[in-house]
Parts: sequence; structure tokens; C-alpha cells
Amino acid sequence: MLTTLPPAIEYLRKRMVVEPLRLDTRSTPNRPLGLSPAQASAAISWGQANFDEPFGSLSPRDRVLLYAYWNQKRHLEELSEAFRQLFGHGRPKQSMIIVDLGCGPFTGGLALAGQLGPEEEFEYIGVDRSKTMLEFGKQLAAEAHDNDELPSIAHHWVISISDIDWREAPGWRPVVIIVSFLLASQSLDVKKLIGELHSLLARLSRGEATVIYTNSVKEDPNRNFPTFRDALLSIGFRLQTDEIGGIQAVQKEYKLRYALFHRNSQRILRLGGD
Amino acid sequence: MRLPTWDELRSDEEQLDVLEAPLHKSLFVAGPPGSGKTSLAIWRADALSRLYGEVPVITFNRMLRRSLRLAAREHNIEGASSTMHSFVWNHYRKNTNENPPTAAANEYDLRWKEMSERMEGKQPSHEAVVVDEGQDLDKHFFAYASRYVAKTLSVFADEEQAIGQYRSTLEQIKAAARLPDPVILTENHRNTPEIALLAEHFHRGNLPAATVVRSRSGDLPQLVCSPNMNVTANRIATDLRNRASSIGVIVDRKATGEEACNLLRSELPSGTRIDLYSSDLKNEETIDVRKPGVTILNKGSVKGQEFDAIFLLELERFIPCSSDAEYRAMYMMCTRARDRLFLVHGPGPLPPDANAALPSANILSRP
Repeated sequence: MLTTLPPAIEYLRKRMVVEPLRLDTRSTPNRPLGLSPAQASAAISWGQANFDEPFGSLSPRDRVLLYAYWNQKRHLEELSEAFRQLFGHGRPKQSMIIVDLGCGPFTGGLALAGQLGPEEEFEYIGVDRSKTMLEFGKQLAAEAHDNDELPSIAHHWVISISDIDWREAPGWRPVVIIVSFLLASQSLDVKKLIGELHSLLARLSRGEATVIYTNSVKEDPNRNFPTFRDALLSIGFRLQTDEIGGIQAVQKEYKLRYALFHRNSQRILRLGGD
Repeated sequence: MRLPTWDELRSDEEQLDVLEAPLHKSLFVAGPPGSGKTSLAIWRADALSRLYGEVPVITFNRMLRRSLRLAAREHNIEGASSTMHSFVWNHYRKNTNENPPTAAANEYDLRWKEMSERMEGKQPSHEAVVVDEGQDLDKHFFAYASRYVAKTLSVFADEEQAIGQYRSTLEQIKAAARLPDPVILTENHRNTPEIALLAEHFHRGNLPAATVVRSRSGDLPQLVCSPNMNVTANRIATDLRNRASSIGVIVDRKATGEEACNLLRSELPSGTRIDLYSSDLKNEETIDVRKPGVTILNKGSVKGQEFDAIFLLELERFIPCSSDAEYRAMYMMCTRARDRLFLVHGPGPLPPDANAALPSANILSRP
């Protein structure tokens, strides 16, 4: 099935990403900020840059906009398709909590927003090491929240999991964790990540938890997947799906590695003393 | 890409449902207000009795025993329900031909250690027993029950609603009755979201709040300042005339309950159900709290009951809460209301510290 982004998401991207770049004095037709696709890719280090640092004459904000223009769309299409399949035929009754690890500019949140109706709501926690990325994500989330065609979105932004200041007592809300292309990062400590995620889940909810993993199909970006998978299994997740597949977008077909993990509600109260 | 749908993921959810728990094993269930603990306890007893014959259902007080009996009758379920005290008293007598030893000043203060020594060597008398509102029972009872009463125990409890002097925590129940870890019930089918939110304000403890299943009603719980009992009774009578529903009136002092009862009886047409319950009247068998009418009770006897509307009188005697026990009592009392909840104080304004103990006007509407 052909994956397209919902009109409200296309509109939001146009208003917040495409138009500001087009109106920039450095831009020429097909060359946002005057850079060819190859130059732009280099300027954002294929998505792995430290987006808080300038690059030549480009400001951190320029680099984030270039990322949103060139790279985000593909990830949006992938995650939109994932959410369409997950929630197209039934979804949780309660407001979900979304934890987007390595969120970039609100990527997972935008993808989910496009799949839910305007009467629905979710709470989004974006985690990214770049403050500039978070700042732009926050603006996109605020725009999406105000859009009459999209759900209500409460959003929080932090540079690491340990910074999440969650005050609500844990109830039964479902939690969805997005790990999209995060494992491609060279500096990631996967075991530490899952340890932090485990304690975060205990603070957020006793409800069911789902992890959506996407990545490049190449071997190296997936080198840490076995560690990631085993760490999730050790905290009670089951691996539901682990495959290489594709999605058919308008311009081309993308190949990707994807996996889905699920953990039931924590309905047994562990009292100890056995 | 091919991912499972949400419903497919959910169908994998472990079948932890209490109804499907194996009958030959002990079961421990922790359920917040409105989660259907008592119904599940009755169904469990029914399933067990089909397998084993007589299965006693044991609870905390006489009003709860009455509710168990009414609910069982409604579901066409035969069963013997007792308060813990009368059950243990009879059980011990039957086994030893003696009355159980008690403290001289208090016949409810059983001497469990002596009882246990006297019962030493005896085998459990039943295959299974079901206990509801277990949080309000003495932990020693669970030890006694697991050694001498039944081979398996099915215990339903919520320590966050415990009010009694002899209450037990979930840990204590588990250890004393040698139970598995408790299964948590997750949904509140009783309260409107508005009432559940107010009750949450008084919730202390570690169990997560249950997910409220009902839709918003649009009726916020109300704080009511009443100049005197005539006005209060008039308001209760009006609510009954308008809605013909079951109304619970909770009082702290017996005299207040009697005054409210007399005023309501003179205000409402004869034939209207107006019941005043207290444990010394022992009149629970004449009361069906589910029928339209007014039931006046205190903190202890309202436990485990539910009403369409609750009027909690003498609010200033219940707040501010200065201990966890007082918070638990407020939490338990607020969650008795299905649709409407009125917190009534007066004649004067609430003392500042009591007022400060209440949630904001978007949760509790003020006059």
C-alpha cells in the first residue's frame, strides 16, 4: 500500500520547514540554503551531527531545518505506516504516553498525530541530545496541537531520560516507545539506555508498553540490536516482529529493518517476601 | 513492513482474569474502589462451591455480610457468608467445644496465639474459603484461616481503603495466608470521572488509580454549606424526590444520624425507605441499600457499599486529614458515590485548615 502523509501533516511541514527555507535569502530553487543534496547531507552528517554546533556559515537552527527538510520526511513516512498498521483497526481507550528516544524535530509525534483523529489526545516525551532539535520539535508540537485536524498533544522535551520530570502517579496508560534509527549512533550505550527506560516505565505507568524499533537495513547501524533485544527481553518484553521490509512512499520504496516489542500490563503486584 | 495490530497485541495479554484463575490454588486480588471485588468474590465462591460444596465467604462487618447475601441472591448463587468474627467464633467452638479466648475487656479482641496453640494438629475444615475486604481483618486471622479453615484462600483486598483498628497490609496478608502476589484490578466501573478525581485527592498508597470506565457526567462533586439540619434534610429529600435513587448519608455522630433520620421521615411521604443503620441496632437484614430511598450510616458501616448519591455530613469532623487512616477513610467514603457527591458542612464556614485540605474549584464545586 502506498504510504502518504496526511494533508494536515504535509501542511504543517510546508509551513514550518519548506516555506522558511524557500524564503531564506541563501536559498535558490531546489537548493535550500543554497546547498545541493550532497552538501546538505554532509552539513548534517547524515543525521548524526551535533546539531547544537554551527557548521561553517550554517547556524544550529539552519542544520536542524536542513535535517527536517531532507531526512525527516522519510522517517515520518516510515513511522506513519507503522502507526497506521498498529492503530488502524483499534487503539487504546486511554490517552497514550509516547516516549520518542532520539526524537529529532518531533518525528514520532508528528507521525502519530497524523494517524489519530482531532478528538483524540496523547502525551509526548521527546528525548534528544540536541537542544536546537528539541526547540524546533517543541514548535512543531505546539503547531500540531493547535491544528483543528490533529489530536491534542501534551508535550515534554528533555536531553536525556533521567531529566524527565514526571509528576503523575503511575496508572494504566499505555506507553509507546519509539527507537527510530537511534541505534545507528556510535556513542550509544544500549544497556544503560534500557536500564534507564526500565526505571522510566516504572514511573510512567503499569499499563502495557510497546517498543517500535526502526533502522537502516545495513549491518553496522544494527550491530547493537542483539544487545538491545536481549535487554528488552530481560525486563519482560516479548519480541513480536523482527524483519526487514519496505514501505512504498510516493517517490520511492524505502527498505528498513523494523522490530516490535510488547510487554503486558504489570498487573501482578510484586510484594517480595517469597 | 508488516506489524501486528493493536488488537492482536492485546489478544496476547495474559489471561490474568480472576474468573479464570485455577480453582485449586489460592488467589490474591487487590482492587481499588469500584473495581468489582465483591462481585468477583461471589463468583469465585460460586465456582469453588460447585467443585467443593460449601465454601464460606468471610467479610469485615454485618453490612458487608448483608451486601454479599443480597448480591449472591441476585446472581442466584447459594452461599454462606459471615463476618470474620462470627465465623471464627463458630469455627473455633466447633473444633474445640470452647468459646475462643478474648481479652477481658473486649470480646472482639481474640487471643490468636492461644487459639492457635489449642488448634495445633487440626486439619483445615474446608477445601476453600473466600475473604472479601481482607484489608480490614486482623493478620492473625489469615494465619488461622490458612492453617485451620481451608486448604486454599481467595482473598480480595484494598489496603488503601482500610479503616479498621486491626487492618492488614497486602504484605501482611500475603505472608500470613501464604498467598501468591496479588493480581491488581485495573478498572473503576462505579464512579463518574468527576467523583473519581475528587476521591484521588485523598488517595494515599502505592496502587495505581484505576482507569475510570464511565463517561463524564458533567456533575462535579459539590461542597455544600448548610445552616442547619432542616436545610440539609430538605436538600436530601429534594434529591430523592427528583431522582428516586439510592442515597447514602454518612455521619460521624450517632446523634446526627438520628436527627437526620427523624427530619427525613417527617419531610418525606410515609412509605419512603429511610433507614438508619448502626451496628448496635443490628438491623442490617431489614435494609436493602440498593433500593430507592435513604440509608444513614457511619464511616465503618458505609464501607464496601455503593449509592447513586452520597451526602457526607459533618465534613469538618473528617478533614483536614491528619493521618493516613483519615485519608483512607475520606478516599473510601468519596468512592461510595456512583453519580453525585455532596460534602456538607455548616452552619459556619469551613475552618481555613479544612478548606485548604480540599481540592480546587475545578474538581469540587463551591457554593
